[in-house]
Amino acid sequence: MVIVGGGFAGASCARSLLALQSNLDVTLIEPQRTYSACPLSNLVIGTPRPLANQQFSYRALERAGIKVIAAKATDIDPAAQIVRLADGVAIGYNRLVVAPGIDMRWDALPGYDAAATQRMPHAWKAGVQTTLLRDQLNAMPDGGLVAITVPDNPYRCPPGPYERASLIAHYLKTHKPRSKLLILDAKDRFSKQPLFQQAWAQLYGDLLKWQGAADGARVTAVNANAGTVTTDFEEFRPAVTNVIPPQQAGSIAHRGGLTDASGWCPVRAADFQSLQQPYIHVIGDAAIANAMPKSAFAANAQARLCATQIVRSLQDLEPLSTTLINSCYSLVAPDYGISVAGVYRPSADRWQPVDGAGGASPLKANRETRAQEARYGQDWFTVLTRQVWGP
Amino acid sequence: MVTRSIRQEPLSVRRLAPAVILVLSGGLSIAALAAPDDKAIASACYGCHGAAADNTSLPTLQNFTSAELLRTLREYRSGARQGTLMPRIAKGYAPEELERLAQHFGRDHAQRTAD
Repeated sequence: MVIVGGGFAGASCARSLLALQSNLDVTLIEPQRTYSACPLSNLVIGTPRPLANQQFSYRALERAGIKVIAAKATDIDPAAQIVRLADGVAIGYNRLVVAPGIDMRWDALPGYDAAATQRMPHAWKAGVQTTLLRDQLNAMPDGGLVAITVPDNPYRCPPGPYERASLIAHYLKTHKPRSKLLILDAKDRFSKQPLFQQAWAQLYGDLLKWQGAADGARVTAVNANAGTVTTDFEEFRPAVTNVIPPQQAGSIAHRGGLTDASGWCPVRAADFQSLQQPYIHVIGDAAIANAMPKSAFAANAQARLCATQIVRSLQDLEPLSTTLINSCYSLVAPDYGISVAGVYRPSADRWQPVDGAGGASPLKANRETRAQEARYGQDWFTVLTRQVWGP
Repeated sequence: MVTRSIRQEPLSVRRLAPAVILVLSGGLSIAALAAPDDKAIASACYGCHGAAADNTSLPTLQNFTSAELLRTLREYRSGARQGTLMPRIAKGYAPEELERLAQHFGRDHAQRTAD
């Protein structure tokens, strides 16, 4: 068993495979020795939470008997059933699980390339980009404009940009109250929208402004050196610009012939087997999981199920049908949480939401309920990350 | 660094054939899926409900009896019990699935697994 990618999907799948069948030979290929988790990373940007609270090592996985190779997988040869590493080493597999997460699409937004991320961080993979955005906000004078650009669907973590905006607004309100925050969105609707907008009006007033596609806010170009952001109608020169660019499956998925024209990986719903290459499964953000969002929680749930189905197939058993859950908390302020949940079942060829289940927090709720959901959100992170990287 | 192939025995032709057919057909009919075992159903709960050692406000399910869990899950499903996420999630499960979950996690049942 070879797993490419050590995030919420890949690391979890490696552990689950070994937990289900202890005599499996499981190898995890992940270039970073320390993983920086995205959930709660907006607290690192908007509050004193240290980045270290987001970071996890693979020691527990190694102790469990997983071979962890700290290298970048650069190529897959599906016919020969081989993964190639950056240094040329070839690793054969019986089954391959590809969980590379996302890559930015450098061709999608004129002016936004890898170099531009140093001036206009995306912070959409946690780590140095997260602290770069935080440091830019810290260095900004009171009274400056902060802009966040948001892409069209699909992208990693649908409510993430709006939590990001909320916690930056919290930082500005606390430390730089004459500043303004502008969200330039390529969409007209977004996840948990009524809840976010209700809370924004209540907590941040006119400090935070959201504009959608119908307002002409779709970003058509950026110029990182000049510090400008161009939309359908206007040009802005913010003090700090956070560009959340259009995304696609991580590069190894493209190299392995696992992606379709959308840039993401079509899979069979029941067991996440690639529809394009045999003996390869794709899980997490890179996979097309239909109604299931690209979230850490969904990635983890897919990983567990994928491991179950792989072990069954090794025993010549057909995949089983089961129910998966997504749960996702967003912080509108450190003590104000909202959530969305979904329950999903596989139909013939896709993951479908179960009617009558799931949905977002109620619009009518008192501050104690919002505070409770904020605590649950933090605890959700603790439980989930312990499941994946903990002892 | 690992330089030699760790590939195990080659896959049998018998296993290859259905896999190729399924790939080409682009999907798997629902009739071909096996019914889930209790462990597979319960697996979804571990994303939020961990071990007591996690020391969080999210309850450790194995601390409750099967009867307590079943009553709570049924009340979440019917709307009789207030909650944040659980009323929304419990409504996605059939009554018999809730029974199986309560049996699986209840501290009075030995079949639960640490997973």
